[in-house]
Amino acid sequence: MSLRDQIRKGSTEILILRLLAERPMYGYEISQELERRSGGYFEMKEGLLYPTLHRMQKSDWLASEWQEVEGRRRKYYTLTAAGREVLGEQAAEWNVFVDKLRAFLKTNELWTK
Amino acid sequence: MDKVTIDQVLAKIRKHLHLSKETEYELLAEIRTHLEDAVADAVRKGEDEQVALLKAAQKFGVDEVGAELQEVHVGWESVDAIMVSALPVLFAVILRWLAYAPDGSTLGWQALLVRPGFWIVAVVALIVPFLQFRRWRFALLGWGFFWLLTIIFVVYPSINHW
Repeated sequence: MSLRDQIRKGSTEILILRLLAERPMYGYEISQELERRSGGYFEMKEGLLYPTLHRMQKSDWLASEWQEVEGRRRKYYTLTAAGREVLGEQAAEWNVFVDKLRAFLKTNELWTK
Repeated sequence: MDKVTIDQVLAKIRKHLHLSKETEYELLAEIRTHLEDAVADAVRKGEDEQVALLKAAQKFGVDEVGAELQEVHVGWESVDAIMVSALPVLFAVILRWLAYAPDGSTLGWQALLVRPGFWIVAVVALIVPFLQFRRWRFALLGWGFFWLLTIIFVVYPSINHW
């Protein structure tokens, strides 16, 4: 698995939590939004989004409900209070990680010689 | 070349699923809407429907998703099954304890029916599975079965004694 794939895999949950913090969305909408907002960087095997969503629902971070909108029946996911809390914790952790990594890699003269 | 349909794609995913009919139906319904949306988007952008479906299926990762979904849901159902079985057994044991005095003497079914403890346990035993379990029909079946056993083993000897 490439580094990009590993990073993507590790960040899928926080990306989903972040999107659903705005409004309820259905699976296809989530995959499209991830792709659109990251310019394709967070594009993934779309099917693998569903096991992640269901796992997150099992952890009570998400709730789901079938809704009919404009004649189409879709399963909408919403963030629960527990999910919002997890989003806060994970966002704080990721920010620390990114800051530390950026500070660590700041001196690039070692590999640009 | 034969035309590929969404049903054929779903059948490939279904091969990996060994869950309750209810769960499988819901999972496949969700995937169906995803594929239909993806195809509709591509057709709107001028793509051929058949090509769009093949691309959507490839992007979806048909072979991986079935196994992943099975892994996520199978554990969930096992926990449910254990809980569904364990709770009624626990309640049956409590009811038996309520029906029989610690010295082993039987209360008699008339005395049992006016005991608040009996009714509290009975109502809790009824409500908990409904609130706890998503698959309420399974819960109801388990609940009914163990209540039947409770009635047979607790009330029947009391009636005979009376």
